[in-house]
This record gives sequence, C-alpha cells and structure tokens, in this order.
Amino acid sequence: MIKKYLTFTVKAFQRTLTYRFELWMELFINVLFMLVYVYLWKALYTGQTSVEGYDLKGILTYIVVSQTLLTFTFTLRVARIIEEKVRTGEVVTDLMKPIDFQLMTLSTAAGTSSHTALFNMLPKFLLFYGTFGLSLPPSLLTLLIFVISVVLGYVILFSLEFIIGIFAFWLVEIRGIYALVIWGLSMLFSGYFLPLEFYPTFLAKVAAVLPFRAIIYFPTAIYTGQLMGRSLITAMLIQLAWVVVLVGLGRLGYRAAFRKLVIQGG
Amino acid sequence: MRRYFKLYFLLAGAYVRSRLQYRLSFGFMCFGIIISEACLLGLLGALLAKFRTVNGWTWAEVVFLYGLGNLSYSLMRILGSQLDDFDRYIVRGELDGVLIKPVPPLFYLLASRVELVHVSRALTSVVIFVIAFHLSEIRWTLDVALFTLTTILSGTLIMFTLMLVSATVALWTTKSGKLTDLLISATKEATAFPISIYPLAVRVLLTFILPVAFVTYYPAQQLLQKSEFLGMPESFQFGAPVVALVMLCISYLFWCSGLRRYHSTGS
Repeated sequence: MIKKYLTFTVKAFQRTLTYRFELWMELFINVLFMLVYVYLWKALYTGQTSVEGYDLKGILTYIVVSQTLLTFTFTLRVARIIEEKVRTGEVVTDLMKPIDFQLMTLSTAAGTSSHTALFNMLPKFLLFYGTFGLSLPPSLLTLLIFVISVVLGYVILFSLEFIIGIFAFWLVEIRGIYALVIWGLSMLFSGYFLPLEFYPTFLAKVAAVLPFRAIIYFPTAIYTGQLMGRSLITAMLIQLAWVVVLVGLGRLGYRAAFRKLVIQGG
Repeated sequence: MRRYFKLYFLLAGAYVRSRLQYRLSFGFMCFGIIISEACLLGLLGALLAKFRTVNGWTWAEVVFLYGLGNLSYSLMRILGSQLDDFDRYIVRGELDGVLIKPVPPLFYLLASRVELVHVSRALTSVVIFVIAFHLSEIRWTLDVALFTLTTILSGTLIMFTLMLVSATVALWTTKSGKLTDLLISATKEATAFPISIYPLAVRVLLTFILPVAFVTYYPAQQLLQKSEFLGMPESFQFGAPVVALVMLCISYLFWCSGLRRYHSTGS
C-alpha cells in the first residue's frame, strides 16, 4: 500500500535530478535573496542590542531559517501541475487509477521537495550558519520537534496549493487565486520577512486567524527557542488543526470535482 | 515602423482579450497584487518605526527607493512578461513557429503577451512613489520631472535586459524553470534598500554585473540630494541611461547568438 505511493516519491526525486544547471542557478539566486535580508538586519541592528526579544544573533538565525523554509513555497508547483492536468485532460488517467489522487499528488510533491531540502536548503543553511555564526536550537529535542513542525507546515502549504489546484476544475484558469493566496497572503502572513512579534497589532491579529503562520513562523520560532513549553504545544496543536481542516477541505473539494467531471463525461 | 506599431497593438490586443475571458481570475490577481503591495509597505513601516533608520536612510527615503524600483519593475512586467517562462517555448518546440514568422522573433514574443494585471502594481507603485516624493520634500521642477522619467525608463530597460539574458540561457540549457522570475525578484528586492548595507562584493555585483543599483540607488543620490557613493565615481548618479543602452546592446547580441545556435527539441 505505502510502497505504491513511495514509488511516486522516488520517481519525482529522480526526475528532479535531471536538471542540474537549473538547480545550481536556483541555489545561487536563493543565496542572493538571503544575503539581502541578512545585511538589512545587520544594518538595522547597528547600535541596538535587543528588539522584541531578539538579539542580532537571534534575528539572523530567524531570518536564515525562515528564508530557508520559504524555498518550499518557491519550488512547490502542485497547483500549477493540477491546473495543467485539468486543462490537458490528463487528469482523467489519474482518476482512473486505483489510487488516491490527493495522496498521489502529495507523495509526488514530497519527492521533488526532499530533493530541494537535501540539495538546496541544507547546503544553503549550512553556508549561512558557518559564515554568520548562527545559533543551533536550544536542545536536541527542540531540533526534533522543529523537524516535525516543518513537516506539518509543509503539509499545510501542500494542502493550500492542492485546494487552489482543485479550483481549476471549475475556473480552468487559476493563476489569479494562486497569486492572491501564495504570493499575496502567504508571503505576508507567514512571517518570512520579519518575525510576527514585529508586526503592528492589526496585522498580527489577522495573521493569528490565518493558516500561513503555521507554515514558516511556527517552525522557525521553535528553532530559535522563541516558542517553548506551553506556547510550543499550542503552536503544534494549531498546526495539527490546520492540517486536519485543510487536508479535509482538499478531499471534499476533489470528490466534488470528481463528481462534476463524471457528469461532464456522461 | 508604422506596420510594427499596428502589428504590436493587434497582437497585444488579442492577448489582452483572451486574458479578460477569465474575469474572475484577472480580478483576483489584481486584488492580490494590490493587497500584497499595501501590506508590504505596512511591514516596511513597522520595521522602520522600530529602528528609525537603515544606515542613515529614513523611512521616507527607503520607501522612495522601494517605489522607484517597483515602478520600473511593474512596467517591465507589463511589457516583458513573455520572457518570464520563455523556456516553455523551447520545451514544447513552439519556438520553431515563432522563428518562421516574418517579424523579428523577439518582437513577436513581446507583442504576443502584454500583461495588464501588472497595471495594478504600476498604479500602486505610482501612489507609493508620489507619497515618498512628498515625504522626502523634493521640489517639483522640470529638471526633476525629466530626470525622474528618464530614471524610470532606464530602470525598466535595465530590468528588461536582465530578464532577456536570463531567458536566453534557456536556448542552451532547454529548461530554466522559474530562474528568470527568481532572478528578477531577487534583484528587485535588493534595490529596495540602500546598497550601502551590503559588503563590497555584493555592491560590485549590483553595480557592474547585475547593474540594478542604477535602477534606484545611484539616481536616488541626485533626487534625494545625498552623496553616498561608497568609492564609486559621482557621475554614476547620471549613469542609468548609459547603463541601460549598453545592457540593451549586450543582451540583444546574446539573444541573437543564442537563436543562431538553437536546435529544435523536435517535440
């Protein structure tokens, strides 16, 4: 059962290996992106010791970890892929297979993303870690919890993209919603640009009711030790709740889309 | 010449009409762009409210840089979005169809896709820019207006040429994925802040190799009456049009040499 889906993961991983040049260039540009933010914060912190509970080392660690996690947002193409499948009609062959469409999409995405994590995110992080003397998580246990939180955040991001992709069954063209949710809302409320502690009260309140902070802010704040004890548990429960809600919505959505497709075919 | 004008509007018009078929999507996209621009400005404000200045640049001045870069960026996005995922043409073998058209390939490509959604971004950045202009207490004179206009146009060209070079690379590598998009976003981000915050290597990179410092930083020296040249010649504040023209020549030659060696993927 699991083996079936793992095949998708392995195949996607191997497919990504084909385009070496693209991957190197992507890494180079990502590094440029991160340099911009690291130097911005260094300049901002001249003459300051601690702002909103972050000292220079703390904020640089936050920025590098969150920028590294942002790579998932850049490289995940689930919505685009589903849209393309709907437009070309290829989706029919997927729906005929005796497999779960959502799970298949997730395991394929996981293949591409584990390649990204291994060959883009990890080297990038280590480079900045070494160059700017960042901190490690407070304990080994925190590191473990951080990894779990990253995975939960990833599933949330995936589910959002999946739901957007499902819209293609009705709208055909989904670039608009994609831009609004992923480039607009997610970029602003995920906390990649600055920690949520720095947000003005109003924006912080909006961020608190949206799922986006569970993608980047929670795992990053767990890494830096900003979330500990009770607030850490709350954060992870919120993540879990979003996973359940969004995965569920995705399932409902694709079942409805599937029914609609049958009607069209008949 | 007139024929090209007519052709451009014909092709662009067809594309715009096809995009407007999906009104809802178009609306969402405009809305998304405006929301994200407004919120980003809010975050930038929140940041500088806490820290007052970045390397001696006030909030108004940073917003000025941001608005200037964003304006050039959005103009380039309206006119040059085709280059964004140009590799699609190569992967699917559609470039062959473009090459046999009786007009220069680059002209055809650009004309056949004019993205009006980015008008919403351009309008937002005009508003931002005007506010920043006002806050920085710059006096409107004919000189200032002409200089600003030249700067924006040169900036648009500079960003366009970077996009062209990046897209051309796909003629060798077949696939470039989201590279062009990433490169442009990264350089645009870099222009939003005074380059004095970066170490020498990055400043050299942004001045000579990816010369986006000429889109915002150097011209802003003149407009904001600053003199922060970091060891570079002071004449750089007027350098934007020259850099734009040089880049245009280089990138077009590169594009042509790429087309000459192009072999169809045959699919």
